[in-house]
Amino acid sequence: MNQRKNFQAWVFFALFLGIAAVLIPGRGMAADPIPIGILLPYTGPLGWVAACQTGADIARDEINAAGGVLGRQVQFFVADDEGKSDSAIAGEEKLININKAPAIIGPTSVTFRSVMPIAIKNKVVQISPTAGTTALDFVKEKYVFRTVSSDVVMGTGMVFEAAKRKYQKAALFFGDDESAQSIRGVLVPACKAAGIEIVGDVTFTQRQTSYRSELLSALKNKPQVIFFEADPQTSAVIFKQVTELKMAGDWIGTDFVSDQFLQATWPYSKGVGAVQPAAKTSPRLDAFAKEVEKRRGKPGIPVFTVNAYDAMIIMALAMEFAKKTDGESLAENIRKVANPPGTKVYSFAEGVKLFRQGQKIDYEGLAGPQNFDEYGNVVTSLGVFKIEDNQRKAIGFLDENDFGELLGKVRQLYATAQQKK
Amino acid sequence: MEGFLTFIISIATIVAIYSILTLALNIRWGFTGLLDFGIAGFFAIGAYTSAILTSPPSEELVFGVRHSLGFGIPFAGGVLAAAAAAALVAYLIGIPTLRLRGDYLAIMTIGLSEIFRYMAVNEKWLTRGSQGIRNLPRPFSGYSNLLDSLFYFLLVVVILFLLYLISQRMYNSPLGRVLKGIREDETVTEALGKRIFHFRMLAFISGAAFAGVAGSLWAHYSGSIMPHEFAPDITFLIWVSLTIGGSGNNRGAILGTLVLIGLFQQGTRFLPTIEGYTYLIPGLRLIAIGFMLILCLRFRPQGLLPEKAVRVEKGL
Amino acid sequence: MLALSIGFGIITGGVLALAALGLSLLFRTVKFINFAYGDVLALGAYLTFFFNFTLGLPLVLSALLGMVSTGIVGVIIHKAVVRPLREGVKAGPLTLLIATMGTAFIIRNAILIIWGPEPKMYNVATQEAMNLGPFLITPLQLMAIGISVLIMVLIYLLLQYTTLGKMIRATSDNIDLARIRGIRTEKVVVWTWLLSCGLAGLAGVMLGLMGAVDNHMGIEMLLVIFASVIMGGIGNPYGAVAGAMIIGIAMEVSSAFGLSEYKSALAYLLMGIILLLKPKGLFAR
Repeated sequence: MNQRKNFQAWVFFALFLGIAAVLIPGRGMAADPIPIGILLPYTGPLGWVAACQTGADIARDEINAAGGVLGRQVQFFVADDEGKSDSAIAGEEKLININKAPAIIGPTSVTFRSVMPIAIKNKVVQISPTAGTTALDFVKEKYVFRTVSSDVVMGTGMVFEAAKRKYQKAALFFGDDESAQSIRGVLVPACKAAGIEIVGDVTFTQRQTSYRSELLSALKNKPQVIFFEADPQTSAVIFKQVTELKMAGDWIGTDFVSDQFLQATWPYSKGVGAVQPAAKTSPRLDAFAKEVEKRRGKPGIPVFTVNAYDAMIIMALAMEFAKKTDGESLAENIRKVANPPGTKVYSFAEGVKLFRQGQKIDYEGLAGPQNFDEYGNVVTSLGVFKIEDNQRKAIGFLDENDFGELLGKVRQLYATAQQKK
Repeated sequence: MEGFLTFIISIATIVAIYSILTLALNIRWGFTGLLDFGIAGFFAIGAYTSAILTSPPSEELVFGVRHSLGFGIPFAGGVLAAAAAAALVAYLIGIPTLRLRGDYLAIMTIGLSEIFRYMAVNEKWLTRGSQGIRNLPRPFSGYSNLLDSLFYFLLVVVILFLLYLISQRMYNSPLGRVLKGIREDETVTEALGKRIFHFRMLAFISGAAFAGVAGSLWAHYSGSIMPHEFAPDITFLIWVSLTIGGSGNNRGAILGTLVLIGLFQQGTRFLPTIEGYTYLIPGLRLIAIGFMLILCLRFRPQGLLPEKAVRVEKGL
Repeated sequence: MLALSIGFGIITGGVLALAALGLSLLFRTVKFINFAYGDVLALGAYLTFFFNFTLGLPLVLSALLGMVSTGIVGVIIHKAVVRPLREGVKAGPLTLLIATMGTAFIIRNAILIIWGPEPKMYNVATQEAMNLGPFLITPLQLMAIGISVLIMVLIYLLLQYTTLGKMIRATSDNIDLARIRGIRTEKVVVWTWLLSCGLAGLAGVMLGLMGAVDNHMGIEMLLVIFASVIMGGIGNPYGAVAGAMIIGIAMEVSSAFGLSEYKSALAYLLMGIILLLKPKGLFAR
């Protein structure tokens, strides 16, 4: 009996500690700063995505150096969604209810829709710099925004590039997860619109030790280009075996061709290409790149970093414009500062200056013009990359001027089916 | 304050839903000694059944595959259907597999739950594949955030309590005694004239029904479900919860879940992340859970709340 | 294309066979299923990576060291987890199974903390495959199959003709009888753990060489290894080898012909069918 009482005592003590541990972070908050939440998969298979936080950090520091929003400093609160729904929900609840954030940057496609209802319920802006899933294409919600374009755009870009290289036969090689399947779903109508024949189509489970048979199946009809997406671990195995089996073909990947991808697959990924969201070269981007390099200690801008930067700057401008920091005002004013009409501005300080003069602005982001449509979507520019010398080298850029026409066709093919209710 | 309460309630809701799962495992393993490593599979079946049936009817192209299910039935129907579906699948699977001996059953059940998961990923026409199903309705909405969460939590607690009562009833009934007999010594129980298979099936189906309810409640709590959420990790956590709490004892099951999921998993979520060592805390957490399991098995196998010793009845 | 995929299946099956052999041997002696086996395999791959990449030792030496270290880990599991449970609370096979599941999580997350989630590769260049009859295979893979076969033969010889082997067989058949006849069964069990986990480690290295060393390789392989062992008949090491080949080939051939989404599921399904129709496995003793 005593043993039992002891155990119960320990349980209650532990409970008490647990509650205390949760309370304390809440108490520690200073009265003045504006809390902004960041919800990303720091751990889990999508860990490489979280590197984009550097972009948000740079934005925050830029904003605070310019005096903050409405005189108040911006402070980040971070939660790890581990790439899973329950962790995402817990993290979201913490950021909203304990940290009192009126806006949250993130999360990724995988968990976005799990946390979306919570944000909407609480009148909190949910702005993702990474979620490209087509599932969000027609979600018309006041509080939902994305500063990265939908996979419809990226998929179209991939096909556009393939058509540019005069390919006529393609194969699809995608993992069975949502992100990969989302792109694949776009590529099918996109290839059709561009007149490219799909001669191989394989969906595989990630993290296996052999993809030889899958490769055999996909490449048996000799496609000229292979569109693919797989996580870095799986890609390591895939490209090793592509090299081993001497398989020919031009590989074009997605935003998953990141620095982590490179690190995992080099040297077998030599020559592998990708089309992914990237900012067009400009002096502004160069300066940004230097800052990113300084903070990370290595060269290169991780995917989505510019999108995270834009997300934070836009929110700060919206709050400054609205002269309020709550979620609802923020949601109502994002388009007012990011979309035309207005004088084009390229930084937070510029925008604030023009506000003081009573002018309307149109923020042009690093990732693209960042003009939100009715569904909270944008079309950002795409970069064409090739892996060479252990680096992801940018060999070109595509924007709406290039693929706009194809995009229109793809959207039509896609939307007709999508919107049938 | 309101925010803080909402947050606590959300964690409490997760604990309550998982407790139902632990009760389910308790019926199978705690009462009957069925080594079941596939409880996540029935959790998934419940979640998906409820999701498919309660979603508003729609036709969409999901990754190129037409999906047109969704019947818009009310929440309560969803929960009941989830239980029924899980029970039905358990029955079908049970017929061939429940004759297997303990360790084989364990492997078989994991295999099955993984097969279910692959089906959920690949059969896009039914489950919308990796995109999952979203916009799942909750029975109470339209009030304030705090009240909505509170109502849902209370609903889950009521269901948990009901299921607890049902399970207790089972335990204390002649049925329960047979199940315990099977757990302790099959040969003797068989010699007494009880058809082992029949009772194992009953335990298997009941556990499935409970798990199905838990799955349905989870789906509606979460608002959307995706196949990758139903990985065997859940099964492992529930196992440790049951072992720590006291296998065979329903109150132990709930307590174990509270300790493991509530305190340990959710509570440690908010320890600060150490720069450059992002895996340290989540990794340590799971290592600690592994150790807890082993230590518990070694030093307190009966768990925090031991099962009450059965009094020998005269004439049995 | 059928021939090619069968060839791939033989490669996969060959490595799987080593692992299945190890698990089967262990089960025969200790009479419970070691759920940590997959993660022990992964640990073998990672330890070899440590010797090869971090310490810069040549691959063969690293693999040997890796094998031995993994075997030692196996012994640690026996002494730290299994024995205390058996002696302390007279744990039966089901409890030990659960305990090894906990051990699996410990090993897996220790690997995660130490090495992180990025996949690792050994300091070995990938070779290009050559045509060998109707198959495509690299010299390294050929060697791997050769080593597997060699090891299987060695194990056979060990069990049949050496004193240790005879002691292992006696202990497997009837531990109490063996003890009565003066066999130091504790020593035998330790050696069996060493051998079994050493084999797992070797399988892990081979998998790592042919693909990548990845945090999840343990759990990925575990169920497929189970499927092989069960297919061959649990407790029958050579049956396990045959089972592994069958499963390996089935998985690769089905992937080549369009069923790649269900690759692992197929292995589980096959296992299920065998369990139901011939629970003692295809090659029951």
